[in-house]
This record gives sequence, C-alpha cells and structure tokens, in this order.
Amino acid sequence: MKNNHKCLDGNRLTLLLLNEKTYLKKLAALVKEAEHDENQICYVCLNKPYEYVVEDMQTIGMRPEKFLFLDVMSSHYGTPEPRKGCVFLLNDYNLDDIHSEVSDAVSRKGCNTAVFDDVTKMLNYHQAFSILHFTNRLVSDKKTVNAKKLFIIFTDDDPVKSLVDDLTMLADRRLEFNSQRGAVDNIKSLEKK
Amino acid sequence: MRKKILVVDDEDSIRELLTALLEENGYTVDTAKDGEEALLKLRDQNPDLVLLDMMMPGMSGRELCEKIRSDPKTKNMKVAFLTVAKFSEIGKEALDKMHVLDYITKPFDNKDLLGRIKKMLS
Repeated sequence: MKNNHKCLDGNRLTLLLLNEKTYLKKLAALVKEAEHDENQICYVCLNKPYEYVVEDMQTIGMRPEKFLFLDVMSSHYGTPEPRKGCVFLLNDYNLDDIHSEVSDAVSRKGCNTAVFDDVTKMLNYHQAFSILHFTNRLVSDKKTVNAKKLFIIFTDDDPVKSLVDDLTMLADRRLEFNSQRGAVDNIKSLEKK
Repeated sequence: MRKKILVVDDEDSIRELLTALLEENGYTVDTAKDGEEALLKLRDQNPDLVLLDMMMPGMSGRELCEKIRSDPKTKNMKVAFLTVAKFSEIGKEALDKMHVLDYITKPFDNKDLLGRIKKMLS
C-alpha cells in the first residue's frame, strides 16, 4: 500500500474507479497520506448525506474531524440542522454552487485536498459534458488551482466509459481497483491506453 | 485552391467568429454544432482540416476524433483541438495517439491561430 501512496505523490487530479461495496476502505487508504497533513480535506458528499458518510468513516477508523464536508444531498429532503464541520448546499447538485464552496474551502479555509464522492451520482442530474466542464474548472480556476490533490471517484462497476475517458484527458492519474480480486495490492495504474 | 476547414463547436459565437476569421483569410469554412452533424459533413465534404471543441453535449471531441480515426473514409484527416480544456500529460499522450496535430486553447489569439492553421495545412 505504501508504494501505492507514493505513486500518488505529485499527482493533482486523480480518477478513482472503485467498486461500490468496498470503495470506502480503498478511499480511506488512499487519502490516509493526506490525513497526515495539517490541512483539512474538503469532502464533497455526492452520494450519501453527511451523517451517513461520518458513520461510515468512523466504522473504518477515519477521523471525520479531519474533513470539511460539503453535503449536497441533505437539503433535498428538508432543511438540515447546522453542523460544525459541514456546509449544506441548498440547491442540490448545482455545479456552480459546488464549485463556489470548493473554491472557498481551498482558497479561504485551507483545504489542500478535495474528494468528490462520487461523480457517478452526478450523472443523474447533469450531462457528461457539464461534469467535464466542471472538472476542467476545478483544475484550471485560480481559486482552486492551489489544491494539491483532487480525487474524482466513480463507484459504479460499469461507469459511463466515455465520461471517464474524457476526464482521463484532464487527469494526472487514473486508478482502477479490481473488484474481483479485492486486494489492495491489486491497484492498477491505467495510464491512457 | 482554397483549403476547406470544418469547425465543430457547440457554441454559436465561436462558430461565427471562426467562420468570419478564417474566410477573411482565404479559407472555405463549414461548421457543425455537434459530433453527429460533424460526422455527416465529414463523409461528404472531405475537409483539409477539422477544428474540434473538446467539451460538447452528446459526443465529446475525443469521441468524435476516435470515430474519425476508425472510419476508413476519414481516418487520415488532419484534426486539431480548439478548447478550454486543460489537458494533463496523459491527455496530451492520448492526443498524440489519436494523431491530433495541435491543440489550441481558448481564448485564442487570432494571429497565433492563423499561423498554426497555416502550418498544419502546409
């Protein structure tokens, strides 16, 4: 695993293609190195409300206090109670709002890593090219350009291939976890074919 | 003989701007607003150069380029990207593998764009 951490050094935009059943453990391993950093990690909850993500993190030993959460789901079901360490976005899945909050987290709140968990869910609300534009903005906008690492996660076993391939054009690394073998050392770096 | 250029971009303003600029400089220009329209025009018109946007609704520029390369009628066409996309090293390698001649970032400088087009068509 240590070697796999090293392979992420210096890589800014990383695409992670994870298996839905085991993704949190794999993600935990991959962001562990960033956890040792003093800065907080901006964690954009796209497929689960903040509270569920925190519960999941605690069960596998991740420290939720290390994260600044952006919850884009909870307001869909009502008005969430304000929570320390979490920003609830009012317009669920609005890409401009998400970008604005991530920019704020990076430029003003000192987050140097951002995790988007997971982008597969965004495809229910946006066309693939809008997500591509959004990602391009993240890697090129002066307000987010200081983020050291950006993790874009897909958890579907059969993610939209064309979007993943398009995002790979912007990515510094694409990692795919083999869902059949499951072992951490089966991480493969899929440099563009 | 005037060289033919096909501009593929979903933004009306970019298609109009490029048409005016390229026609003023001696090129014959046609446009397509998406990948599907571009594929139809490519097979009929056999342009000397295709200028592609990367981020379009429906078929992306990358997908369109792959289709161009996989069709015996169009596989040898000259293709360049004209895009706001900030390609990574992996992306640039992918462009090389698709035999993309150049990628020009928007917003572009007219003089620079014309120089690069002239070079690609020489």
